Amino acid sequence: MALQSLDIKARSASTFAPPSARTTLEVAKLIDVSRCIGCKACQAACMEWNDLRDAVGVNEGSYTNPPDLSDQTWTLMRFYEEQIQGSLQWLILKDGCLHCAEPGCLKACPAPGAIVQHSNGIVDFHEESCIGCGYCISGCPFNIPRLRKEDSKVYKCTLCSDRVAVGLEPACIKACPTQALSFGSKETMLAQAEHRLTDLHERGFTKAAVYDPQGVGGTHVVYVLPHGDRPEAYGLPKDPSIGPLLAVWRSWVSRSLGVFTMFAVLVAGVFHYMKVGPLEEPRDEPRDGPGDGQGRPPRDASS
Amino acid sequence: MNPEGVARLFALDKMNEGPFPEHYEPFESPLDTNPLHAKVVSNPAARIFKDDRDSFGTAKEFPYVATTYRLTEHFHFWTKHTRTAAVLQPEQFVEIGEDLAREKGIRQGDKIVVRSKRGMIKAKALVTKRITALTVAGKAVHTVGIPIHWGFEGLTRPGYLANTLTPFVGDGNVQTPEFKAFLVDIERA
Repeated sequence: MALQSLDIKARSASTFAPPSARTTLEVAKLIDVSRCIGCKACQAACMEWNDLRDAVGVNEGSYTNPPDLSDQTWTLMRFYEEQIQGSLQWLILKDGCLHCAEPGCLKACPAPGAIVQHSNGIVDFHEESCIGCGYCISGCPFNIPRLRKEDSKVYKCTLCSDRVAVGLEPACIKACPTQALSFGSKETMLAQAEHRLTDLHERGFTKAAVYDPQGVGGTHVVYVLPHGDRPEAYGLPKDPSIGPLLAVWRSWVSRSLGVFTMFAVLVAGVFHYMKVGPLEEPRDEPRDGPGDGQGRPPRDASS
Repeated sequence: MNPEGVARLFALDKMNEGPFPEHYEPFESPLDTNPLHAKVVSNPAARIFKDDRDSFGTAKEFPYVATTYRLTEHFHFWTKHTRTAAVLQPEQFVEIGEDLAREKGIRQGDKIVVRSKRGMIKAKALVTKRITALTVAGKAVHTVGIPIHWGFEGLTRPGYLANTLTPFVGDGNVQTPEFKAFLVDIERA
């Protein structure tokens, strides 16, 4: 959204070196699930700040509304009822982009500059460069980006990069009434998460853990999960990583393969020409039928 | 414990049914009696108009306990005209436990009818593990949770007013209506 060209660390489908004169603080959003009451204030704040209004849908027997993330719903409270260690737990997860340090979406994107990673860690989509191919959707290990049918562009949480750029916290953080959401430098957030873990362990949540998956290089949205041994109960992948196919997609292997193929086709063409020569078109032969007998095509009787 | 070695119990003499707190069954109770004292079942100080007494249902006819409540997305009925709130809770629903749902053949998201002796509403069923059957005086009692915020005009899908179901009872002191405990019956619409 906000274009801060000096603070861009990585840019989709581009090879040139990013500007590095200016350094910024690495930021993170901490989502303390143990403090969340599921009020959806963050979801409302996200809609307000980003001017998004999803359709008034239907209730399908769930508190999760709208039913899924969409181009108009960048963050979504998901509600799960799970039996954990013999007791019922109502697990509530604020779903949305995790802003990976090694973003699968950015690696997959073939449109130059459509996805950028800021040096503060925010992974942002620049929709004006998006070509709507949807590769980022298959590249994301968390199933976050959503393609908008009307304009064939992909949308997701920006971590309010426009607010963060001017020193404000994201809108969801500002709205949270229970301090389940906090925002600051990644270092501070991790320290705060550790502090929360000590508290949770004392309170009997012995499996409480921080969710900052290293399979994607760590994330800039970090969860404190009271049942950290079972992230999949919250709908989070246990060990997310970007697929091996994606790893070769923009690597030297696929590039070399592409260049090799181009040259191979050229060379094969030259040899084919030398051996077989040019393709010769057979001359038009006079045809039978209603022509004029001199090879002219048939015409209407009037002409 | 106090310095003199005993506990103290304070009560003001300002409560109409006082001085001490007492358990009374709601006027519509799933039990026919008060398990603590059978002679006085309901609050004798409560205000009930004579004709409203006829509008109370019995457990035989309306076997399930209902309660009404608000949702965190809402503020009273004011937020009916807020589009963000309408997106977050688009359609009226009623929460029932899994046992009751199984008994009644109701699945997640089915449209159901909730009736009391005073009226009926239709809403989507939200089948949840969070509401379980209670055993009260040896009897299984199911609870039906009815969030309010629907009825009248608004930006959500049209819904029914939960207070068409609730009884006309004013408590003994400040006339707070008894909207948190009454009897209903449910079925698939």
